[in-house]
Amino acid sequence: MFKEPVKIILRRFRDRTLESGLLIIAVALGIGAFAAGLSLIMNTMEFSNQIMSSPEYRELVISTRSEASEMENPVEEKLVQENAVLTAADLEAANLAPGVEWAYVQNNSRLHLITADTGNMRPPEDMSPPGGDNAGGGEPRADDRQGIQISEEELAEMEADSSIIIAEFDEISGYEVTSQFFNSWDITASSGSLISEADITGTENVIVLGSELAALLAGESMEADELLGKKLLSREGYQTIIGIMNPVSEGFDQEYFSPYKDETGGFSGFRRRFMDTQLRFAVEDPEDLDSTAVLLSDWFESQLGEDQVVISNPRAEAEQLVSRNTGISLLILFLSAAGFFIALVNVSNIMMSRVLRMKKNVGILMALGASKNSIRKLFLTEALVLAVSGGIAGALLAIPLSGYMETAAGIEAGSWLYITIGAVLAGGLTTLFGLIPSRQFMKIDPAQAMRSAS
Amino acid sequence: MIRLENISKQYDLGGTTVDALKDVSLEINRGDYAAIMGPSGSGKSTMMHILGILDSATGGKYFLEDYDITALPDKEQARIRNKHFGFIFQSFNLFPELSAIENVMLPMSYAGIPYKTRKDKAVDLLQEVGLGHRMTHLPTMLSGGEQQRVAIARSLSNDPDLILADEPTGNLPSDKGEEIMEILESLNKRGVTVVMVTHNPAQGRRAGYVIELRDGMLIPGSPNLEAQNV
Ligand SMILES: Nc1ncnc2c1ncn2[C@@H]1O[C@H](COP(=O)(O)OP(=O)(O)OP(=O)(O)O)[C@@H](O)[C@H]1O
Ligand SMILES: [Mg+2]
Repeated sequence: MFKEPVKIILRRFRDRTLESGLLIIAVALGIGAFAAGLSLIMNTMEFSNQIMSSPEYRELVISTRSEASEMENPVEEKLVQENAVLTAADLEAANLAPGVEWAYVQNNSRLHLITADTGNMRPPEDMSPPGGDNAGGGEPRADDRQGIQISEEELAEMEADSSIIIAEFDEISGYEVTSQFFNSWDITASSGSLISEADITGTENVIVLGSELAALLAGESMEADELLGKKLLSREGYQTIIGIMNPVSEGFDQEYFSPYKDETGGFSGFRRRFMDTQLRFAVEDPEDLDSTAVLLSDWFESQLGEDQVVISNPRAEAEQLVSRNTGISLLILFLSAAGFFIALVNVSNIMMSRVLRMKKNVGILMALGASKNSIRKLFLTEALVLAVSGGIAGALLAIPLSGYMETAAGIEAGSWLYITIGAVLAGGLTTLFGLIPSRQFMKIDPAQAMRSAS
Repeated sequence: MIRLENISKQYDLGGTTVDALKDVSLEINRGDYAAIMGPSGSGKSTMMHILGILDSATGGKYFLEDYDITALPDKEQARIRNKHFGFIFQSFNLFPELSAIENVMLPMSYAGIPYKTRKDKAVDLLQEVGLGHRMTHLPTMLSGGEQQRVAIARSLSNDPDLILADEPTGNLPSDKGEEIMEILESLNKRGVTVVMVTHNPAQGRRAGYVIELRDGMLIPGSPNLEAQNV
């Protein structure tokens, strides 16, 4: 039950529906805008830090110029391609650049699995044309897959063999990598081992599975680590599973990883012709990216001639995007803060007229035993009613608003934390501004207050 | 009970000063029934405000039960007003947002009295002033006389030692005013000290004595001054 003086305040609030309603709307809009603006800038900055700390943005990616140009001009591209071919041997460029921590190859790759249904069918005819259809590097071509044809009887035998894994889906994607890939992304094996130098020079087809892919292949009948040592049946041959990775956040969990080999067994010369190998050089300190790029550029120029490779710096591109997003977010924060401030000044004004109308009542309250402190608390109650109801309404307004703005800025689902912080902060300011008008009562005598009209 | 020594009150009106009270000394004893009289502007309300610690004097000393309370901290002043004084005003000064009973309960909330207790007490007081059937009415639904009786009930809620009434019948027709006078007199008979401002000579005669003011000064020969010798 509220005490009687508080009832006066609450009922005045209730009885002046229009004025109170407008006040709350003004406060809610101001707080909502401010909270959304704050949430936007904080989430933008947090998201930027997060992506900038990803290994992806400590890398320089080197590819042949042909790859960059081939989309626009396939004829010219052929000429260039003859000259520039990158191989794992070129990773030694890292020795010249002291900033480089890890150097590796990471090419997109794909395995065509033989399932119980498709085993006796011919491989699909519609293979993509040579030259690569995605920017991430080449993928094995039709030539690569012609190897295995299996009859129904053979397939039945294989199904009976517990050392052979026959998948229920017919394609998996992954990467051909060299061993430092795992160091650079800080990936560890949950069981078995990762790809080593020996696997790269060896002749056996081995693969390492991402955690989710392993679970998918194991199905319900097996534990994932029972896959180790077993052979996955694919058109490209048996793939011996040598390791399973611990989960990583970067979307590698559904992929497989196989050793990168400059010459794929038996099809020598194929890669030279059709595969674009991408080399990645990861530096320890992003500050070194630019100087490392210069060193690498010199090295490749001396090795391959002028203008044969493209060195791209994903971080520089991302930084540009981030600084644009941050700039826009700051502007929005400034605008919303300005709107909020204007709302606050208006709130203060309306509160001033409310307080003036309360002046005589304040005198009477004092005569009946209210100290100045309790008068202050009373107006604090009024300001809090306003700030809390406006704050809640504002936060409800800010949630979809900031969600929309963040989607527009390409930020993943920002947390509600900053909206809450923004609403509480703005609510606190509203309370302070709402209290300013009642400070006049701290100086006057009850008699003086009572003498006022109304 | 109360002793004023050389109290003066000046209002500063940006350049000119108004002397509302000049060098007033008087004593009011427990159980007294005093009427303050004098022409308009003579300082009666100012005197009431100072007696009720609603305003501070610009000079002189105020003793309550022999304690010098001339410059008490605000919190102490509020406590004395709340627990020891009851105020009745010419314009009733009820809170229009509160029902009759809530108006009576209000001073008790400042005394920290729990809800149930203050509600019971308010019911008793309203019945005592003959408003048992008007408890939940808002002031706007009450006649002037009824409003003033609610105000009296409110002034009594913390069992005050002193009732200060500034023209309590000034806004009422004479028969309603008479009802108020009777209530005040019965309170005084119960031992409550009553100080009342009035313009009505008949009411003044019914008081124990009259304090007469003119131009902010006590009129010499005022009965109070003869009785006491401050
Ligand atoms: N706040 C104020 N500022 C300036 N002068 C004031 C103030 N309050 C009172 N006065 C002046 O002080 C003098 C005494 O006023 P006060 O209200 O005490 O008179 P009163 O005897 O109660 O008169 P009334 O019978 O009309 O109520 C008057 O001259 C008045 O103008
Ligand atoms: Mg007066």
